[in-house]
This record gives sequence, C-alpha cells and structure tokens, in this order.
Amino acid sequence: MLRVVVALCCVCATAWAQPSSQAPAPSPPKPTGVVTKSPKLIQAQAPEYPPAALQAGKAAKVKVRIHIDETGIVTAVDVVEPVGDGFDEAARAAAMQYIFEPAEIDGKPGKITVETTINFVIEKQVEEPPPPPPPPADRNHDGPPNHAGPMASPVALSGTVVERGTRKALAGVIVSIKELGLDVVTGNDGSFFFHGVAPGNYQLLAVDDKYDRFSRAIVLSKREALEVRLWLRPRGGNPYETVLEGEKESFEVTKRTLTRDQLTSVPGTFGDPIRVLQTLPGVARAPFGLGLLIIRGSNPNDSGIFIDGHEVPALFHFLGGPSIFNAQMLESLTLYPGGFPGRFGRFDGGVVALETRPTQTDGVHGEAKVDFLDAGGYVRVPITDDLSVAVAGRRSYIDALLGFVLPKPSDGGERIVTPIYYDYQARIDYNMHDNGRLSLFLFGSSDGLHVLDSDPETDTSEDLNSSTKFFRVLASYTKPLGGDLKLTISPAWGRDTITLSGAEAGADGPFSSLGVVTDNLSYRMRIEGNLAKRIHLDTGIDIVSRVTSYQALLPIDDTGVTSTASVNVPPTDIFRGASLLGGAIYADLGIDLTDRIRLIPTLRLDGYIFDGEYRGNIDPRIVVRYKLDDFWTLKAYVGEFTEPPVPETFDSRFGNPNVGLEHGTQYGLGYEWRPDHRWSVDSEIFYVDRRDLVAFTDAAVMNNDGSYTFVNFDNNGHSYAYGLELLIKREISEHFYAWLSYTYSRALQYSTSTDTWHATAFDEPHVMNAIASWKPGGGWEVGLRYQLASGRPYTPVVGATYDADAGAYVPVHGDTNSVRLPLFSQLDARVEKDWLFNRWSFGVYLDIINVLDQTNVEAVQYDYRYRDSAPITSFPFVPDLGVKGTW
Amino acid sequence: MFVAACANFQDPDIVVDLRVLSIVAEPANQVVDISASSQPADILAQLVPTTVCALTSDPSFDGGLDWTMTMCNVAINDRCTDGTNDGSAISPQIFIGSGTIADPDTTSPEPQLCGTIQPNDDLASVLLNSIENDPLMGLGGVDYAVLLEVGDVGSDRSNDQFAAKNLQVIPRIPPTVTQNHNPTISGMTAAVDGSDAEMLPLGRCADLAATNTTPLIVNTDDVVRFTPLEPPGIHEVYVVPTIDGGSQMFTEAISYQWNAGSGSFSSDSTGGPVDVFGNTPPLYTDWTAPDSISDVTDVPLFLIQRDDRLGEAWFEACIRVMP
Repeated sequence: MLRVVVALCCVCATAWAQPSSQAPAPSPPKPTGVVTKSPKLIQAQAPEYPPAALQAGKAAKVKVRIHIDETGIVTAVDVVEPVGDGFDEAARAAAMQYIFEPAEIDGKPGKITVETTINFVIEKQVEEPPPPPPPPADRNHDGPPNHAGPMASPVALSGTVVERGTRKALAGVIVSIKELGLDVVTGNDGSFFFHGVAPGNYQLLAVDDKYDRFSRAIVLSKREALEVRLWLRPRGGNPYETVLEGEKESFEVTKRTLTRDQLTSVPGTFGDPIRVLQTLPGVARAPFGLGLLIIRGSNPNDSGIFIDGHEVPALFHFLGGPSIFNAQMLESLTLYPGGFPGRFGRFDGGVVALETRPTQTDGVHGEAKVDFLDAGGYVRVPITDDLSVAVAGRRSYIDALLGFVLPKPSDGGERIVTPIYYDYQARIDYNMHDNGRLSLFLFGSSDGLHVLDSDPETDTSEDLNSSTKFFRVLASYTKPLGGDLKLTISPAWGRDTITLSGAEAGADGPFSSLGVVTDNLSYRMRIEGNLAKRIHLDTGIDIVSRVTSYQALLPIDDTGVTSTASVNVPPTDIFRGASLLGGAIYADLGIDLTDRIRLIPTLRLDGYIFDGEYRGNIDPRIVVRYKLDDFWTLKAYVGEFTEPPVPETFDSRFGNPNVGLEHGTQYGLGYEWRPDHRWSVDSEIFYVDRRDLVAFTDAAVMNNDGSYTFVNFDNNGHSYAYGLELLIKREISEHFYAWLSYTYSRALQYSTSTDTWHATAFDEPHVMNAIASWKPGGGWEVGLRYQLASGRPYTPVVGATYDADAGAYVPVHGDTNSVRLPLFSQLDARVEKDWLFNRWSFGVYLDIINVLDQTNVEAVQYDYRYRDSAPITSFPFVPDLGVKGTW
Repeated sequence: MFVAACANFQDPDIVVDLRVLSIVAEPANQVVDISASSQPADILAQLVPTTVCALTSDPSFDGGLDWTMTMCNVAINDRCTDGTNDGSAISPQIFIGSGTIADPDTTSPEPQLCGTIQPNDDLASVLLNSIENDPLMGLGGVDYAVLLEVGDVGSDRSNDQFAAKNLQVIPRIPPTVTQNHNPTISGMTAAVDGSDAEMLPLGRCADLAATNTTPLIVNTDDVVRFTPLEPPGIHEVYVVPTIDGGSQMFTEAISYQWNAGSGSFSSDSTGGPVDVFGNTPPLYTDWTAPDSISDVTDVPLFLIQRDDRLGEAWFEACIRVMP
C-alpha cells in the first residue's frame, strides 16, 4: 500500500514586508517596514499528488514563495525552484488555499511574503499503521502543519513548546530537525510530531521571533518514541513584564489604554499598574501620594471609576496605599479624560474604565508578591476545558511596623494604632463556545483603622474604629449575535459601607457612631459591533439603583441657633435614608463617512428618581476624527455630561430635596501623529464648563408658620477648566520603553460669597511625567520616573484674631487659593532582577520613591496664632524592597 | 503614608509675649421682650450698658499697652473691617473706646482695659445690620462683636494683636429664655507632686505685696495639679428656640483654659462637654514647673473659664518656683 505524504515547511524567518501599494505619504517620516509580527499559518491545504509522478514513484520538495495580503489571504504563489512533473502546479494550487493570521508591519496589518517548502513523499506501507499520534487541537484538515515526516509512520519524536516561567503553550513556533530538514509549526496547544525519524543523534531547533532561539541535542532510539518539552525564553526577559500601550481603537476621541501586563515596572508606583494612570496627560498630581483621580481640574468625585461597566466607589486603598485590584485580574485600564462615550454617564469629569481579564484554562498559574507594605497572591485553575477559576487577595501589615515609629504613650497608658487594608477577587468563567461566555466575578476592598489611646493622667481614653468597605458581585454573559454584533448582559450587586465609632476604652458599645451603607444594584445591556461596513454601533441600557441609609449616634445640635460649638448634647440616634434610581439608554454610532472621516454622534438619555422626585436629562455628544494620512489624525468633540448630586445633598433634613442635576459641557480638539511604529504623539486642547454644581449655602427660608428651614444646598456652583495635553510615547520594544506626558491645565470656580472666580484646590497648571525603562538583559530592568508639577494653590493667612469666646486664634485669610505651594519635583527609580526557571520565575525589586530626597511641600501648617508656619512635606527617600514569584 | 510634618512651634499655653487671653462682657448677654409691633427704641429701652474688659499680658515688654475697641456685626476674623472680604453688606463700625494702660504684668493694682457699650443709636444700627445679614432674622439672638486691637506702647502698629468677642441680644422666644450669667469658681486647689490638695491663693504676682499674700512655692520640675472648684448652680439650664418653631433645653458645660508664664501643662483645656468618645473631661490639669531657672521666679498662672453662652471669667494666681 502506498501512502502519499505531503509535509509543509514554513520558513517564516525569510518573511519580508512588501511595499504598500498606496501612494506614499506626502512628507513626514516613512514607515520603517519592520515586521513586528510574523504571519501565522492557521489553515493549510494538502496538495494533490501529481498522478503521473505518483505512478512513476517520484518524490519532490517544492520551495514556494507565498504572497499574503493584510487580511491573511494568499494572493499569489511563486515557485522558487521548479522541479517539474506537476509538483510545481500542485504545490502552487495548495498554497493558494492557505490562510494566515496576517503579519504586522510597523505595528499594523500588512502585506508580506514568506517562503515555504512542500514535501511530496511516497512511502510503501507493508503492515498496518501504528496507532495515530495524539490528535492536535485543531485538525480540520489533512496534513496538519504540526506534523512532519511520513504520516503513516509512527511518531518517533513528539513534544510541546512552552514559555519559560509561565508554562504557556506556544503556538506557531517552528521546530525543526536540522539534519533531516524536517520542520513543523506547533499547534494551538504547542504540540509537534515527527513521524518515521530513524534512530540517531539529532539537533532539535525551535524558532520564534518573540523568543530566544532554542537548540537541543536529542537521541532517538529504536525501541520507543521520544517525548520532549521545549522551554522557550521570551526575548527581553520576564514574560510577565512585557509591555504594550496604545489606543486600541479610535471610536472615542481621547482614551488612553494600559494593558494588563503593562507597567508593573514603572518606578514610583510600587509595581501597581493602576497607579500609572496618574502619570498620563489630563491627570493632575494627587497630594500626599493619595490615589485621587484629579482629571482635567475636576474634583475627584466628579470622575467615575467603572469595572466592567459598573461603578465602584474607589480605586485605591487609604493613606496613599495601593490599588484595590490585583493586576493579574486586569485586562486593560482606560482613561477617558473627557468626551467619553455614551455607555458611561452620571459624571461630568473623566472616566476610568477597568476591563477585567477572563480566566484561562491553560493550566495552573499564579503569582505571589511580598514587600514592606503588604503581601498578595493570585492563582488560576482550570476546572474543565471550558470552566476556570481565579482568585486573588492582598493584605497589608503596616500595623505591625507602626509600633516601631509611633511615640510612646505616657506611663501606664496604652497606644495602639492599627491600619489594615485588604482586597480580594474571585472569578469563574465558563466558555459556552457558540452560545457565548458566562462569568461571575466577586471583588471587594476594606480599609480599617483602629486607634486605642489611654492616658491615666487625665483619666481619659479613646477607642476609635473606622472602616471603609465595599464589594461587588458582577455577572456577565456575552454572546455573539448575527453579523458582527455582540451582546453583553451584566447585572451587578454590591454594598458600600462606611463606619465610624468612638468609645472609651473597655466600653460595652460605642458612645458615638456613624454608619453609611449604600446598596447598589445595577444592570447593563450592551450591543456592540459593526452594523455595516462603515457603521459601528454601541448601544444599550444602563440602570442603577442606590439606596443609602445613615445610622448615627451623634451629639448633634441641630437647633440651628446656638452660637458656640461646646454645647453639651447627649448623642441621639439618627436614622436617615436616600434613594436614587437612574435609568439610561444610550447609543454611539460610528459612521465612516469616507475612508478618512469618522463621525460619532452620541445620545444618552438619563432619568433619575431622587427620593421620589424625578429628574431627567438628554446628553448629546458628537465626535469627529479625520485621518489626514497614514500618520496624522485630527479629532474634535463637543458634548454634554450630567451628574446627579450625592445622596446627602437631597436629604430632606440635612440636604435639599429640590437640588437638581449638575451639568457640564466638554470641548476638545487635537491630533495624533504616528511617524512610525515606535513613536507616537497625541495632543489635545480642552475646555470644560461645569455649571449648576451643588454647593453649600447657609441661607434659610421662613415658612408660613414662622418656622425656618435651612436651604443647605443649592445649584449655584460654577467652574470651568481649560488646558492642553501632550503625550509622546516610545512604544514598547524588547529592551526599552518611555513616554513623556505634559498637561497644562487651569481650573477655576466661582465663589458666591465673594462674587469672584478663583483657582480650585486642584488647579495645577503644569504637570509633567517622564518615564523610561530599560532591560539590558540578564533579567535586569532599570527604570526612572521624573515628576514635575506646579504646586497646588492655597489660601494664605495674612493675620489672626483671638476668638475670646473659643480661646483660640482664627486666621484672617487672604484671597482664596491666591498663592501656590512650591514646584513639586521628584525622581523615582526602580531596579528589578528576574530569574527565569522552566516552571516559574522569581524576581526581586527595589522601588525607590524620591531618590534625591527632594523636599516637596504638600501643605503649610501654622502655629497656634498663625504667626509662624512650617511646611508639611511629601515622601522623603523611601525604598521599598519586594520579592515576587510567578508560575 | 510617608508624610513628614515636623515643626517646632511655640507652646500656646505659655505666655512669652503680647497676648490677649480673655475678654469678659458684663452682662454676658441681654434678653429683650419683643412683639410684632416692637420698634428699635422699644428694644434699646430694655438694654443696659455692657462693660467689656480684657485680660492681657506681655512678659517680653516693660511698658504699657495702647488699645482700641470697636463694635461691629461681622464675623470676628474680619476684624470689623468694611465687610468686603465676605461679600456681606458693609457693617457699621462703632468706636467704643481707646487708651493706654500701664504694664499689665507688673503694675498693681491691675490696670483695667475696659470699654462700655451704651444702648444707643450706634448699637441699634449694628443690631439692625446684624439682623439683615442673619438668615434666621435674629431668631435665637442677634450677634454682634467687639474687636480689641492692642499693642505695646511705642511699637509698630503692624505688630498689634487683635481679639474679638461676640455679644448677644436675645429675644425672649420662647418665654422661658433667660439671661446668661458669667461663670465663676469658688476657688482652686493645688496638689504638689501627689500631696494633698490645698487651696491656692488667687491673685496676681504683681499684687502679692499689696495683698500680703504668700504664693504657692514649688521646686523646679515639681508637678502641680490645679483643680478649679465649681460653686453650686454654675451649670445653668437654658432654653433656646429651634428653627422648626419649638425649643430645646441645655445644661451649660463649663470649660477651662490654662496659661502660665513658664513650665508646661498636661492639658491646656479642661472641662467642657462630654467628648465623642464618652469621656467626661476632667477639670484639673497638671502643671510642671520649669526645670532650668537660676533665681527664685514668680510664675503667673491664668485660668479662663467659659460657658456655652458667651459667658466668661478669668482668674489669676502666682506660683513661686525655687531653683
């Protein structure tokens, strides 16, 4: 019996880019033509053996050159070395049917040419063939590329190619036996098979452009097949530190996306990728290293934080602690400094959107990390081929260290300060293939502070407990619809809890307390995709319900008429509640008017019910992008943004039930310039007008019965901000990345009491961040970050008056926020060394805040009569040493 | 997490240079009967003159003090300026008095720094202006302020100290509203280094010879526990109207402020309301005598007593520290 065997040998190393057929750009730098991603064969077609040659018992190797277009389709096949006998035609016909994952040139899909050898072999089979080799993951065709040698022969050598450290199976790697000229391309599961290889000594070679070249000597015996595992080392070091940043799409005008793996190595962030947000344009420097998001001059609470589309109250732990999210759970982080799409609403500042990462079924993987402040870990485990689970958590131990630095209590006294933060995440993913994907995600965060202080000299003691917690449970179901549309349905439930209680030490219960609990229920439905070739749709509904309850035991003097603060009022129970129900429908429509012009009109309709009172609003927005050429894109937008007031402000007792929505209008105009695949420039000027802002007022109105009601809050606040943002990026390469961000921003607000405009507390005209990181090799990485920012404004004290009724001095202030703190300047550094083993990696890092020990002033403190002052300074030289392991 | 806030400021308890420590008004407040038909003249007719006196000290200056007293209605940190800083209507600025007193620390008897507010049209204009700027239109009381500017004789006026005190004219709403009385003590005890407490002779160091008083004598570094003695009835019960048309009753909390010429206090403020942790603050404080003196030193002790309703009183004593 004869068996015809055809082997395909892809020699992608000989791939090269083809010149674009489009007209060259008018002037700016030309593309470099560097292949940033090789084409990957995803479907091969076995050629038909020429009958005459088969009859004649002829075999052949036909070397062909395949021309692949930017979509991965083969457009032409050249026979490089014709062999005749019909082999050339058969090889060309088969290769024309190949389908590739397209190559990328200069970071974009492009045309490319590769050379491949197709082997025609005839082998006589005298006995029944041995059992077939383990089936590769995808064999929808004959002669799969991850097999070589005569298929009828038993497998003599098989194996799997995996990534060092992560054990991730690597597809598309070329594995060859040099002496025989046999090549395979590993399948999706990283497997490869060589059939019928004679016993002997061979050199096995594995090649992939993202990994170091691998070579290993093997010995094949007569009696049994050899199975090997090839460990490929990623180029540039640790695979967990690979970095990529970019704007994944241009559906919105301005968004800056960080991917999951990115930026765990940015100096000054303690390896926290979410903190890197604070280095991007449009984000002002937060004082005291706090995790505040001050976007385009807005107050932190005017910007929303969304995780998979659902709002969360915070992104960082207290006291300048780390973010509440393990980076391994994160797929991407996107900052919308303004002009955000319609699926986000209820904020008139910016938006930070975190997309979580579906768990994988590629084996058991994890990470553990320990440093001076906290320790955490992450593990993901496949349950079945379609079901997987991941869990992560972190806990601080600052409390254990504080005892060494706190001042000692007086004799016989006691002092305990226990700040603790922790966070947790757990996720289950179920892949239903054509029926969609289902996930359930639980995450939460807790920040607690316990202070116990007793003073026997005064016979007093203080037992203070405060805690801020939240959790969310998110369910998500994603299903492809017809065409290119995708449906996502996602309900979520969660609770935010803030508690504060005070008592004497040893007391049975709190003497005073405050508890605020908000139950959040939200539901989102989103349909997104291409309606037609030139029309992209993103539409859905966005519903949220927040019920806030306040329970307090406080000594509140709410008579409204007593004139001193020292009134002796016994604590009383106070129960209040506020509810907000919001529903919105939105639609973003991306319309490609031409190949160069994209218009994106947006409409978002919001309705609210505050404690039974209805408010409604329509937010129209429009974005236009104009692609001048392959390098330049202009962009502009204008839009309305609406924000509901916080629940306290519409409380009928402590707030004003008539308070209305806050409104903002955002304008932006900018450009993007990508001179080549390594460099990009993104710049924008913006103007934001915020009006109808909820502001406190001491006004009172007289009722018909002669009683009074305090107004408490009205919508008379007004502010505006304008500025320019610039981001110059040197994209990630094997050894280096860098970016420079600069923001010029002014934020001013109106004061009804003085009838003047003044700078807001977060007005920082100049903010610059320069970041660079270099991997010299050997597992080392060295990075620097330099921050330069204007000092924040503050209101000067020009004198003081002794308040004889209180026994304290009262400052006499100058003009509000009329002077600034000194310029902030800080250099941070990070050094990391990784050791990569086959099954895991180990790293040691030293993150140093303020390498030069620069004195930076964050605030000014005064003596008791405001005559002398002294600076409150930010981070001194702070080293943080940590270790981490990843497997 | 790593913020540095280190400053070596002057101890506010210890008086080392010019300070205004207390301002007392007598009467502490005034209650008037009003009706819908009341005219300013009707209210003025019910008022009596108010005497406002200040306690000052300046150990760093051998000489007298120049002072000026002004009345207005604005918040005290505006120092009776024209009110433009806070956007409010310009307040009438009423001159009450000015003068020069002899050295307040060494002169005996104690020089008086006092002014008197007469119930006249000037006061009426201030009260009316205050009502116009009060969102509650005077419910609970019409506040106005007295501002004292004081400086060393012959010194640059830019170094003057400013102090303010609020005063009130309260409508008798509800009818049970009563006038406040300035608080007082029945005496003060001193216990040296844990010994039994003894009555502390009250009186200024400068008045010791004139009054033939022997001060409390302690050694350097001695710890003295001072405890004010409260007479019965000092915690007055009072009623205030509430904005919803009702009323609420309170019992006065009495607080104490401690200052001295040297040494240090364990707490510079004692007494007062129960704190948020449930502690009833003790009345006493522990004063530690200075540890580095070469001569016998008489240290002045100042005790300022306050109630909830702008009532105030001051008391002085002298401690002789032996080297």
